Amino acid sequence: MMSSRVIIKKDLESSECDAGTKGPHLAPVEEPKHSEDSDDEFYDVERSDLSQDVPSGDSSNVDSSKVHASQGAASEQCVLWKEELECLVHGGLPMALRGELWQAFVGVGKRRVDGYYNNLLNPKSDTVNSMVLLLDASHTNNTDDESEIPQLDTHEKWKGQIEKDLPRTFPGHPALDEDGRNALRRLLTAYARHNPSVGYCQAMNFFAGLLLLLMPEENAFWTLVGIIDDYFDGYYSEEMIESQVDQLVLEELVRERFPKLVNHLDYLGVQVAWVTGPWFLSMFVNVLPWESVLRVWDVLLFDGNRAMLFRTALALMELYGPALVTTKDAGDAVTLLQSLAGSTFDSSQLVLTACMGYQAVSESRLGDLRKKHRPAVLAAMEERSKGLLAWRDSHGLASKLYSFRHDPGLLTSEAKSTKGLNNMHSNGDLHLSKSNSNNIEEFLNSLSIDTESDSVTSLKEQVTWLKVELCRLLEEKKISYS
Amino acid sequence: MAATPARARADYDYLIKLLLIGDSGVGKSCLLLRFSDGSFTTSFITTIGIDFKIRTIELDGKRIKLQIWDTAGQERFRTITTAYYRGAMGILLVYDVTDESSFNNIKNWIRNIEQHASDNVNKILVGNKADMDESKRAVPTSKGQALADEYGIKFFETSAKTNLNVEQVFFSIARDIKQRLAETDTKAEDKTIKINKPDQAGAEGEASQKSACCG
Repeated sequence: MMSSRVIIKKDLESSECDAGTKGPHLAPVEEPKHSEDSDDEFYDVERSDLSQDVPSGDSSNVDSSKVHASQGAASEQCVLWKEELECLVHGGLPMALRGELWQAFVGVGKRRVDGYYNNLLNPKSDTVNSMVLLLDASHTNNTDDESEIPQLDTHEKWKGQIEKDLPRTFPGHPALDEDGRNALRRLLTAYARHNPSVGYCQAMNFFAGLLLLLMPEENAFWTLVGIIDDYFDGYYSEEMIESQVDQLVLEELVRERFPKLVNHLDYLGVQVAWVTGPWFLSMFVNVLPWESVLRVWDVLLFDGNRAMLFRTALALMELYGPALVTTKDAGDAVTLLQSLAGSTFDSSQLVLTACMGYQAVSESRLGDLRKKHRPAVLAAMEERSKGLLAWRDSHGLASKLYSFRHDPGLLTSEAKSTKGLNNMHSNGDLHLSKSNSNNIEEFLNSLSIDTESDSVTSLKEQVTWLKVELCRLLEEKKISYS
Repeated sequence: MAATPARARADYDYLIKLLLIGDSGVGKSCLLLRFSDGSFTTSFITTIGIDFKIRTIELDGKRIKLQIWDTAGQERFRTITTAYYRGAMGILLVYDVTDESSFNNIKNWIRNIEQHASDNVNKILVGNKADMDESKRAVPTSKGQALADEYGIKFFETSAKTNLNVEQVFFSIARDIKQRLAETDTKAEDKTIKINKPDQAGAEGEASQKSACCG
């Protein structure tokens, strides 16, 4: 068993050489070995034989210089190894190695900054700020200057939500006893502080809980960071724009592949997103049986993007479409699909159908489709915000909001940043919360609105409106440049 | 009546769509599970986005199929969940009697309804977790009742745990909606088309408020 582990690790090492062309960087994970027993039945030793020409080394520490030295010669072999590895991943990772491999797929080794996690949990402002800056160099959570570093002690409004969700995360699981919950709390808190533009979004509790079951706490943190910041950038933030975009993309794909099913769903008045929206947001956790969830995650994390969500959803439509077309009303259709998905116990069939049947649903195709559908989502948000403004108007608030909206100082500072949509998001957050919160709070208080959440909501609506407006402008710019 | 055609005959007289809204953790999913499955569990999981259950009930000799949408309470999900407001015929506004802020937020939820739901949507106010010890109670019954009166809507205190008033809440709102549908049905001639809220263009555009009745 030990030797087969080494081979897998070697595979990962070797596939580093083409990491440039592929999403995840398969760096070795500096992590003390788990002592848990490997379950032989999960692992097909035969399959790894093809790569047995890889020199085997000490399992606990692979000498990466050897690998690099042989890189040039092995570049052709790299491709083969990668294909081989992909097959292994599609076949399902052995449970005993899953945690480590997931970390490797997500590139935990590369991300890891010593002390960052603990500093997030024990904020001593200066160290954390410098750490945040340090990380910014390579990360989505960019800030323009030092003054905009997230304030750790203010407005941690996600705290209450995390507390509410702790007992609602895999309740009854033996690992989530008091210690487990505390670890979960720390993990979610650290992430929220690491990326304030996302903070905490429900569903992350499940991801964090799952990761904690498979790896040590700090590794789980870095894995979560990789997943949310890279794989799901723009998904769980306040506006959830990318989540909405993905649903439009999926709908187009479902229409394209399953015209008969879509006809029926249209007839019943069912929107695909009613069911698939939660599927994507939860990455199938609590949707599919556990084994299937893990198998889908294996591929998703290995791929380095979220194409596997689409493939899995399409596979489920393929598997259950014939049953769905027999339903007679929307409610029956939705509940049937939910219950069928929940009994997808043949995880191999699911993954095979997804990966083989929908290979064409590639990240680049998805990218094109997202580009096509994103403007609609942004426009809808804008409409909503406008509708809201109109609604406020009828309640006599419009003039004040209008004057806020056109605060020139704000717009110039916003417009400064042209780094891209995502930077835009976080910067927008920071700008507003830092430089304008006083104004807004003052004027909202002056409106004698009586509850605290009123001001929060209004502020957020304004932020949303501004972001949408700016995103749209940026998109327009992008299009005109390209 | 005995020989129902095999196809194209719905198994209900009315189809009513309900929506549960309210702050995170007030017990929306527990209420729904109690009503749809008759069970209660303290080990509940967070609702992500939106969930859905159905139950068919009988009211005054009519079969009413209830489609009940359960929503995530976290604020950022509202973009997603408000898309479901439009198709709802009735909305249950749920708060937790041991959590004052969830009660104070009812105003905001009402505002959401005003913005996103149909004008004539039926509403009902529900104070859940009423089984909890009085020492833990943060919202007296009278306050709940006063708020309901202010909005001119019905009010129940419930417990999904002890099954207090759960049936009553759903039956009450279902009865009101059925009555409304029956009324509009009789004067279907003078239909008015309302074109408010253009922002909901993307939302479900169906108006199948009442199913074909199998007379």
